[in-house]
Amino acid sequence: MSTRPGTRSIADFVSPIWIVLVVAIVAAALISDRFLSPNNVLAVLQQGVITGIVALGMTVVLIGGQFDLSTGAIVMMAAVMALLIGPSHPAGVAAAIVLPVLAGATVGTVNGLAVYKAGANSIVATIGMQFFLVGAVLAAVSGQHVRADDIAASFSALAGARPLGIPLPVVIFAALVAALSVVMGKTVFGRHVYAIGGDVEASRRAGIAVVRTGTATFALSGALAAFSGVLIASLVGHVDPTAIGRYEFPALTAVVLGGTSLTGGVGRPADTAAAILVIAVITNVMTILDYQYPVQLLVQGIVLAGAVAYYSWRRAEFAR
Amino acid sequence: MNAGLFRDTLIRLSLRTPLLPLLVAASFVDGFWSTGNLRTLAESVSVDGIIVIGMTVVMIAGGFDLAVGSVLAMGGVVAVLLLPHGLVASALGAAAAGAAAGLLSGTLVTRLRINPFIATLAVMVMVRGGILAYTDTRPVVGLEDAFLALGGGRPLPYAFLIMLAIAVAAHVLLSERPWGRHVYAVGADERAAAMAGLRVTRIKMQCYALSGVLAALAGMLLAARLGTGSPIIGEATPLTAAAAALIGGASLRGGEGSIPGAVAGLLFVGCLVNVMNLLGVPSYYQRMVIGAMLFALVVTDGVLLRLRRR
Repeated sequence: MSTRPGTRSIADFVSPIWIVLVVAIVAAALISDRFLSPNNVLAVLQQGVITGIVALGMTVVLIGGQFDLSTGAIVMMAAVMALLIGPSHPAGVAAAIVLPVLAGATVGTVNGLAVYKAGANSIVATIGMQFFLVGAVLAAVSGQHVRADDIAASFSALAGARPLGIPLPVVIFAALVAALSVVMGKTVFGRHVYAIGGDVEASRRAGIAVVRTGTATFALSGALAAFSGVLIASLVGHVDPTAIGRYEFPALTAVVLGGTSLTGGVGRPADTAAAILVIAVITNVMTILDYQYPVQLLVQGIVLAGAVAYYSWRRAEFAR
Repeated sequence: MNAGLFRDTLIRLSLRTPLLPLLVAASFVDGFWSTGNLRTLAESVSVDGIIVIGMTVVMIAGGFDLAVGSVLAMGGVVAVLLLPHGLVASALGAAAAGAAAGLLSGTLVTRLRINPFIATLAVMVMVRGGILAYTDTRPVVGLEDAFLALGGGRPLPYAFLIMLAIAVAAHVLLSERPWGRHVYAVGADERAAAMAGLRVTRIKMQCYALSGVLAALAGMLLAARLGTGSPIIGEATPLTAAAAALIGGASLRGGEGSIPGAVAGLLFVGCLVNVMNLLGVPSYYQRMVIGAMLFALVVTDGVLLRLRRR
């Protein structure tokens, strides 16, 4: 957003993260000649999508000025739920997609009410929720591997189909980015979320239904995280609940890297998508170069701290 | 502390920390009061206790420290790696590593003005990634006699005595020394504190450094008890510590809380986990209980603030 009304610069349309993305792709292509092979490009996209859908929801929550760190646990809950429901026939497939997403939205609603209605600190509340959910899911399946014996082809197709050679999850992700860009940029709901993130009290006085709008952002985030979980279930067909990655951290890193302000009111879903691709490219190159998970974790922590530091420095410059 | 204030503190503690009812209930659990179990309880609360003390100081100053769990693991690993150079070098090394992590958090929070949760989350991940990479995700084993002796102690574990000593020292520092008043002032209203001439940045840095040092030393004591420094432990530690501090009267907005309160909160959480272990409750349910408790605590924290504003 421009600080001077009337003038618009290119920065209003293209965030620095897109430039970073181009640089990252060029650097990756120079580092490894395997990077630009069609299979690897699809792998990068596929890798980014699961985290990306989670990050989109967290972006909306953070534009409202709050954090949702329960998303990783919701991913796991939804993946386990989808497989337990047993997508072996058409009705089962529908239930295995719809019910986890509804459950995710319900968890999000509880988070949202705690934060917006009761005034709980969103970081600590959603970490508490994360622990509760992980414990509940592990207790429900006694910590065991979950697999569905009979999976209908239509359920596997959710993650496995390739219309025009592009994996369906990538298509879904692109559609979600487009839809959320419209919702956040063009609708009353979106403007209200930006307003709440900018100043809660002023929004309340301006007549915005803060509790309802804010709770809806958490419900959306829960639903999107759950959908990611369903995609995982569809992709691999079995889930080790103790080994499911902790999606909330890479997703948060992407949200912050995309320029969403930690204090709310600023951010764009499409920029988060670009940041997701940057992280996917970095992770992919590190995997090609045989750097294992610990080093990747370390790098992600540095990227998060660096991104936060950069954006807070830039905003301090503007404020001067 | 005058009598009225003492009474108020007592009432507030018993209201917020239902420790007594829990102890009464625990008495009905077979074996709770046995010497063996009390020792287990003392061992489990001492490591967490040292961390809760640091966390409470940071929370009083208006911050938060999510990195304590990774720093706990780092402290254990560093202490074991430095054992060949003697116990003192090992303790100093662990403390220095913890202080470095704390100063990094402090720098991110004060100089770069990053939200403390996100800053310490980043430090948490960096430290975890660093030690996992360094140790190749395998625990390091330290079996020196002096080190293992540090993890023992009869009848009370040394770690428990060390925790008590640190608690007393921290309490005196917070309630009897100027520095402690400054910490409360910074947490209650940072702008006012700065205008009154306090060096806000320095005080906050000191709080984070203290939390880092204490977490690393706790890690060393834990490694001494287990005979290994594990790079993967401490994932739930920030939660347990935050829960204990919140139960003990600290607030997420700073300026509130006390060491006696935090210790009471810690005993509450410790007894709860201990009773669940005695009853054979699987660890999954324990995670659920801790998570639900933390969720309920921050909701209460938020509601209390709204009531007070009216």
